[in-house]
Amino acid sequence: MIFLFLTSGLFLGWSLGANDASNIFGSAVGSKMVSFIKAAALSAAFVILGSVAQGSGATETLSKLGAVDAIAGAFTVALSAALTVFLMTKYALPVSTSQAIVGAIIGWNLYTGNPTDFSSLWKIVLTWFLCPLLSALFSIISYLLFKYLVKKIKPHLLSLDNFLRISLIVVGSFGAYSLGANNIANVMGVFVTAISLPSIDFGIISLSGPQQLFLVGGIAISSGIITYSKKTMMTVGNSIMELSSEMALIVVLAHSIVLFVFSSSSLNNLLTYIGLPNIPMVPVSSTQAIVGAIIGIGLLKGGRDIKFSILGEIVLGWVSTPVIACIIVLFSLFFVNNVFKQNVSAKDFGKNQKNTLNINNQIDTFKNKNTETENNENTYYKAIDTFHKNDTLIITLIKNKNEIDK
Amino acid sequence: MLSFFRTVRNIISQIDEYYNCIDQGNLVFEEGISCYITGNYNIFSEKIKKIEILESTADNLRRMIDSTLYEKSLLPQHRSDILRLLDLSDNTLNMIKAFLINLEIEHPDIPDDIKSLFLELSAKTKLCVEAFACSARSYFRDFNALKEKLHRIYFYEKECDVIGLKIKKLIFNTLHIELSQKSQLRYFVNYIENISDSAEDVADVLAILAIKRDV
Repeated sequence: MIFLFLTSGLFLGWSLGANDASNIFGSAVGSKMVSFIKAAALSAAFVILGSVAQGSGATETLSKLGAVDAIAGAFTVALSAALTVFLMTKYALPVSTSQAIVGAIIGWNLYTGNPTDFSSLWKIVLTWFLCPLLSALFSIISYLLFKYLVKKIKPHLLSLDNFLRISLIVVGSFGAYSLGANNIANVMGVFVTAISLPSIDFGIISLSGPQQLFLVGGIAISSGIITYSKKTMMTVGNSIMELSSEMALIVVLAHSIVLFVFSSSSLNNLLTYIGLPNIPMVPVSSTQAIVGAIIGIGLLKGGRDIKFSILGEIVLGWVSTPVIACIIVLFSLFFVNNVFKQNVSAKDFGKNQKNTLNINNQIDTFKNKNTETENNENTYYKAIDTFHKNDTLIITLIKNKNEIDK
Repeated sequence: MLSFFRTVRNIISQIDEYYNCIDQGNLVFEEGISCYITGNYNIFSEKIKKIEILESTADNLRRMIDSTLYEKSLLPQHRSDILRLLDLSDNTLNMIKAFLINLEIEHPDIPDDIKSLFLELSAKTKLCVEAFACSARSYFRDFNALKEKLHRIYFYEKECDVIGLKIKKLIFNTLHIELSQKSQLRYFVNYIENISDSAEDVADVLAILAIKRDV
C-alpha cells in the first residue's frame, strides 16, 4: 500500500533523472568524450550514493517549510509537482522540480491550515537567486585557474584531451553525487515525515527509515537516467552558448560544487566549527546552476554569444512554477480528500472513519500482567495520549501507580 | 585505462616523428638543389632516394595517426582540424619530393647568372617550411607561442615571391637563351615558389586553429 502512494514520488524521480542527467554528462557524451553507457552507469551509481549519504540536509529544510504528515497528502503533493513539471515541459516553459515541490508544499499548508514557516521559505527563495550567481562565480574562478594552469604547464594537445576525458568522468560522478544529495529532497522529501519505517541493519551499515526512502528515490532517478536520458544527452543543446570540452568541464564542476554546497551537512558542520555562518541546505535547480555557470564564462569572454533572453525565462519560471504547482495541489488535495476519502493531513484522521475508537476517557489504565514489582504486585499504566498514524494506534503510557490507586 | 595512456603516448611520438620527417625533407630539399647546382649529381641522386624514404615514412605515419584518432575517438572537437593540418603538411613534403624528382628527370641547364639566386630562393623556401613545421609543433605543444611564430612563415613566403620574381625577370629580360629553356627555368622557379605558398596555406589554417583553440 505504501508503495502505491510512493509512485508519484518515483515518477518525479524518474523524470528528474531523465532530464537532469544531461546537465552532468550531456556535453561529454554529445562531444563523444565519454560513452553514454559509461555516463549512465556512473550517474546512476553516484546519484544513489549521494541520495542515501547526504539527502537528509535539504530534506530537513523542506520539512520545516511544511511537514506533510499523511501519506495520501505526500502522494498528492508529489503528484502535483510532477504534473507541473510535465505540463511546463510540454509547453517548452522553463521549469525546476525544486520550485514545483516548494509550491506544492505551500499549497498543502494552505489546504490543511498548517502554518508556512516563512523563515524557511525565505531561505529557499534566497537560494533560488544565489544558485545561478554562485555557479557563475565558481565557473569564472575555475575558468581563470584552468587557463593559467594550461599556460604554465603547456601540456601536449593529446595529453590535455586525455586529462579532460578523465576529468569529465570524475567531475561528472561528483555532479551525479551532488544531484542525488541535493535533489532527492524533491523526490522523497514529502514522504519522510509521512512514512515511518524501521531501520535496517546490514551489519556494516544500517539504513534509517528516511535513508530507505532516499534509496528508493535514488533508484527511481537512476532508472530515469538509464532509460530516458540518452536522447537529451546526445542532443544537449548549446542553447545558451557553444561549449568546448574545457568549458564543459568547468561548467559541470561549478554546477556540482553549488549543488554540493547546498546539501552538505559535513560542510555546514565545518563552517559552524570555524565560526562562519551556515549555508542553507535547500534543493536547488540543477539546470539553473548550469545556466549560471555558462553565463559566468560567457560574461568573461565578452558576453557576445550569450542568449540573454533565457535569463528572463528563468526568472519567469521562479514565479510561475510554484504558483502553478500550488494551484494544482489545492485542486488535487480537494479531490483526493473528498472524492477518494483519503486523509491528506494527520488532522483528518478520524473524520473520514465511520468507526472510531476514542480511548482517552474510556480506557485509563492498562494492567500489565507481565511485570511484577518487589511486592509481587502488577504494574499499572495510564494512557495520557493517543495518536493514529498509518492504521496504527499509538498509545503513550506512563507508569503511575499512585495516580491509579487514587 | 593503461592501454589508453599508452595509445596517447604513441600517437604523440608519431606526430613528433611526422614533423621530423618534414623537417628532414626540408633539409634534403636545400641540399639537393645545392648538389645539383654545384654539379654533384651522385650526391643529388642519394638525396632523391632519401626524400623518397622520408615521404613514404611520413605518409605511413599520417595514415596511422588518422586511424588512431578515429578508432580511439581522440580529440573529437579538434580531429578534423588536425587531419587537415597533417594533410596540408604532407602536401608540402610531396611537392618537395616531386620537385627534386622533376629536377633529376628534366635536368634543366641553370645558367651561372642565376645560380646564386636559385640557391637564395631555396634557402628562403627552406626557412619558410622550417617555420611552418615549428608552428605546427607549437599548435600541439605550446599553443600560446603559435601566434608569434606564424608571422615568420608569411615573411619568408614574401621573400620567396620577391626572389622568384627577380629570377624570372632575369631569365626573360637578360639571359640570351632559347625560349624553351626560359620556360623550363620559369617552371622550376614557380615550383619552388609553390612550396612556400603551400607553407603559407598551412599558416592560414594554423591561424584559424589558434582562434578555435582559445578556451
